[in-house]
Amino acid sequence: MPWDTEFEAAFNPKVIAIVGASSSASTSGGMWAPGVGFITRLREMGFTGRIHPINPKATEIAGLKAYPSLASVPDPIDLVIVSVPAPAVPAVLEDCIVAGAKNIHIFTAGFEETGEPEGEELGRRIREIAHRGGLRVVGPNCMGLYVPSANLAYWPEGCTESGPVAFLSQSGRLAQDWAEYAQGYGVRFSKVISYGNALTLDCTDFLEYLATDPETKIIGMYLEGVRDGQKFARQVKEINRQKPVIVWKGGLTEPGSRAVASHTGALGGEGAIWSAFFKQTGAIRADSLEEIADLTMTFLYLKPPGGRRVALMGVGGGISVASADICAWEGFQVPTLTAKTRRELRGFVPPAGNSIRNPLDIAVALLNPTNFERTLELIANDPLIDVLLIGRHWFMTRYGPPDMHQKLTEVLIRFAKRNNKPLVVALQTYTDDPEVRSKQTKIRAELLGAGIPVYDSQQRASRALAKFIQYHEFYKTES
Amino acid sequence: MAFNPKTIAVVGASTKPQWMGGTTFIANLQQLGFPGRIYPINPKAEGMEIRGLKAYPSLVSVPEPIDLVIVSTPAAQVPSVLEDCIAANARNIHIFTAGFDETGEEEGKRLGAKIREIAQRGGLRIVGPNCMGLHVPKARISTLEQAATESGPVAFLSQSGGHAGQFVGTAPIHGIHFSKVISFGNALTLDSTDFLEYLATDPETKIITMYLEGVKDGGRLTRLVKEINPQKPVIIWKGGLTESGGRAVASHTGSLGGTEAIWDGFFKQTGAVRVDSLEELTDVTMTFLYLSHPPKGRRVALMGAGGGNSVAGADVCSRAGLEMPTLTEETRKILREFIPPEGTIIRNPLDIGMVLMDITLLERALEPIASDPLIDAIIFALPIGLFGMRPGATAQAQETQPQEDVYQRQITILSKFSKGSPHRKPVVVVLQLWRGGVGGAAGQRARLQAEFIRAGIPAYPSLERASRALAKFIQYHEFQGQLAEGL
Repeated sequence: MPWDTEFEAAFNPKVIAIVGASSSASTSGGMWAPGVGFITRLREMGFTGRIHPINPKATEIAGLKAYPSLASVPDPIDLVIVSVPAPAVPAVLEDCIVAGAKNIHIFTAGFEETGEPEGEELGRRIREIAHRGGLRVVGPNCMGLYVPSANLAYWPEGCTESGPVAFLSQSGRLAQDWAEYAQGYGVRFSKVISYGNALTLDCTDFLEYLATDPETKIIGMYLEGVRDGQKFARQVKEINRQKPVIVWKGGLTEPGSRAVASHTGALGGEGAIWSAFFKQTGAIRADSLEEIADLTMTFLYLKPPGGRRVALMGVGGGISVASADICAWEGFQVPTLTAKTRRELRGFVPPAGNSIRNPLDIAVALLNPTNFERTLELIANDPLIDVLLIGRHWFMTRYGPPDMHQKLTEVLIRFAKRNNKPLVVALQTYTDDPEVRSKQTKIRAELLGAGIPVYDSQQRASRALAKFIQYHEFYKTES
Repeated sequence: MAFNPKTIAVVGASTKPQWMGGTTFIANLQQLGFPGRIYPINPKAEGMEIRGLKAYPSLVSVPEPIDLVIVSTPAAQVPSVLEDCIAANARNIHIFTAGFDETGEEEGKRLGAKIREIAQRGGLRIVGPNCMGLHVPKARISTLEQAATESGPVAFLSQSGGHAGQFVGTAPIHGIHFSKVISFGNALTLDSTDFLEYLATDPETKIITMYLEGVKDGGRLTRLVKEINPQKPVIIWKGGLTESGGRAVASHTGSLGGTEAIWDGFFKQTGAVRVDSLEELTDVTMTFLYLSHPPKGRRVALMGAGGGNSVAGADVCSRAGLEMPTLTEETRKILREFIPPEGTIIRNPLDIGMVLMDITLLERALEPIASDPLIDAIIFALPIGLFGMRPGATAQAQETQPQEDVYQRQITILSKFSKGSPHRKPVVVVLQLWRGGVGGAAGQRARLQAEFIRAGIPAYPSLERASRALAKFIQYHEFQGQLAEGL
C-alpha cells in the first residue's frame, strides 16, 4: 500500500468518527463497551479536533451530536474508529466507502483469530470490502493509534508527552502496557500502533512510514507474524543502521505459535527463520516486554562502549561472584584491573573484607561518598575497562546506612557529567516491600533524569548492555 | 552444641559504635531474645560494660564453659584469640573477621596458614572465617539484623554472608522458614560436607539449600548429596561457574571452584536441583515446600488473560521445558458451555481474563481443566493492576476494578481446589504485575503473594520464574522415579 498524505491524516486527525458509540453503554461494561470510552479517552487526552459519534438510534451521545451514518457526517473524516459487534462490521465498511473515509481503525474482534467458521467468513468479507474500497485498515482486533503529539489515545491516562520512540504491536494489551510502563524508563513515544490481525496494513506498511518519520529515532515491535517476510527483512536491514529496530517475536516456540494462531490468526514461521532474520538484518532481538523496556532505554540513554570489558562494582562477596557469572554468561569479560589502578585503590581500601580486583567489592567506598567518587574515577580511567556496571543492590532493602543512597546518587550524577565511559546502574531488589520499591523508584527517576540507565537487576542490565554492544559490533564488522 | 548454645562469648566487642561487628552481634542476640548468657570479651575489660553486660579480658577469664565463640577482632589478632580458645577449652568458633587467604595478599595468606595450624592443633571447629556464622531461630541465635524468629524445615548453607542475609530477609514472605542457616565463608576447618552430614540426620531439616563457591572434597560432596537428596531435596546454587565468576570466588572466599563441566556432571549424577540465582533458590524452595504431590508429567494448562500475553506465556513455558497441549475436545466443549467466545480463547494457553475475575465461572472452569487427561498441572496467571486499580484512575476504570474481595475468594477457591480435588493436580499462581506495577500494584502483589502462600499455594511474581521452578520440581521427581525404577 503506497503511503500518502491522506493516510498521514490518520496520525494527526482533525475529524474522528466513532461507530458503535451507544448512549446506554457507558454504565455497563466499562472499557469493554468502548464506543463511549473512546470519546472519553480523546477528551482526557485533550484532543482538539471534532468527534462525531455514529449511531442510527441516537441524536446525542456524551454531549455530542450523533449521526445515523458516516455518509451523513458533513466533514471529511480523517479517521474512523469501529467498535460495533463483528457481524455489523461489513456494513460499516460499506458506509466508509460511501462516505469516502479511508482511514479506519477496527477495534472489534471476532474474525479469523477465533478459528470458528463464522469468524473466518466475516474476515473474508471485510477483506474483500477493504480491498474493493481501497480502505487502509488498522486492525481488526486491536487498540489502534496512540500519538501523544496529536492527543490521540484510546486507553486511560495516556501520557501526553512525546518522544523519539515508535512501537508497533500486534497485541493491544502489550501496546498499552508498554506505553504506561515506559514512563518509568524515561521513554516517550512518537507513535504507538496496535494493529492486531493486520487485515490490510501490516507491519511493513507502518515501517515504511516510520522509516522517514522525523519524530521517530528508535523503533520497537511486538510481532506475531509477517505477511511479506522478504520485504520486512529488506526494510529492517535498511532502517536498522539509522534507527535501531528492536523486535520481540512472539510465538517462536511450538506452543507459542499455536497461541499466535488463536490470537491474531497470523502465520508465525519457524524459529530458525527468525534466527536468520536477526542475523541478517542486525535487528535487536527481545524476548519479553521487560527486555523491550531495557533495550529501548539503553539505546536512548547510553553511548556505545568501546568493547565488552566490564567493571563490576557492588558490595558483598557472593553478589560479586553472581554478577561475574551473569556478565560472563552474557558474553562480557570481567578483567582484573591494572596494577596501577589496584595500587591507587589500595591507598584507601583495606584488604580485609574488600576486593579490588574485579568485581570490586568495596564496602568503604559505598559507605563513604568521597571514596565512592575516587573509586569511580579510578575504574573509569583504567584502560582495560570499557563500561561500568554499578550494583546498588545493597541499598535496596529496608536496612543499610540511612540516607547513604541519596548521597551516592548525587555522586553518580555528578560523576556521569564529566565521565566519558558508559556507566549503568542496577537496582536489584528481592522484595515488593513498598518502602523499598518507592526508594527504588525515586533513585531510578533521579538517575534517569541525569541520563544514567537504570535496570532492575544485574541480569537485565548485562543482557541489555550485551545486545546494545552487539548492535554496534554488527556495523563495525560490516564496514 | 554450637547450634543450641547456652553461653556465647563475643570477642572484639567494644563500647565504640560499630557498623557491623561484635557489638552489633550482641545487640542482634539481645533483640532476638537469646535466653542464654552472653560474654563480651575485650582486653581492656576492666570495669567495662557493653550493652549492659560485664566484659571479660579473655576467654579464659570467663567463669563458665563457652558453647560458642564469635570472633570479630581485626585479622591480625585472630591467631591469639584462637590460642585463647584452646586455653579456655572453647571448641565451637565462628570467625566473622575477613582478611585471610581470600585477599590474595602475602599477609592474608600468612595469617590464613597460621590460624589453620592453630585450629588443627587445638581441634577447633571453625565456622568461617569471613562469614556471618549461624542463624538458628529456634535457639534465638543470629548475627543478622532483625532476623526472623519463626522456625521451619529449610536449612541453608552459604559461603556468602550477603546471600545468607538476603535469603533470610526475603524468605518469610515466600513462606520459607529455617531450621538452620550456616554462613561459613572460607571454610577453614568445617566445610559444606561437614554441615551436610549434620543436616542429613537433623530431624528439623527437610529441605537443604546451599550456596557454594567451592568444596574441598568433591567426591565426598557427591556421595553425601546423592544419599541425602531422595529424602531431603538438595537445592544448590553454585557461584562462580564461569571463568570470571571463578576469579571472583578466589577473591571472595579463596575457594577452588571447579569448572562448569565438573558441576554439570555433579548435578547429573546426584539429581540435586541446580539453581542460578537467589530468586531461583527462593522459587524452587517454595515449590518443594508447598507442592505436596508432584505432577505426573510436564503438561501444564495456563489460565491467563490477554492474547499477546498468552503467546508470550506459551513461549516462556516451552522454553522452561514444560509442555502445553491443546485441551481435549471434550474439555473445550464443556468450557464453551459457559464461557462466551468473544475475547476468550479456549485452547491452551487459555485466554480467559473475565473468567479469572468471575468467581462463579472460575469455580466451574477449574474442574474440567483438572480432569483433562492431557493436563498434569495448572498455572493460574493473575494480572495485578490490569483493571485500572491505580489510584486516581478514571471513574470508568474504577467501575471495572475488581474488589479486593474477588482476590480473597480466588484464594479460597484455589486453596480448596488444590487440597480437595480428587485429580491431585498441582496448582501454582503467577501474580503478574501489569504496567510495571504503577501506583501501588507492587505492594498489592506482595500482600496477595503472602496470602496465597499462606493458603498453601505457591505464588510467583512472573511466569518465567514459576515455569522454571515447576520444571525443576518435576525434573527432581523424574530423577527419583528413574532411581526407583533402577533399583
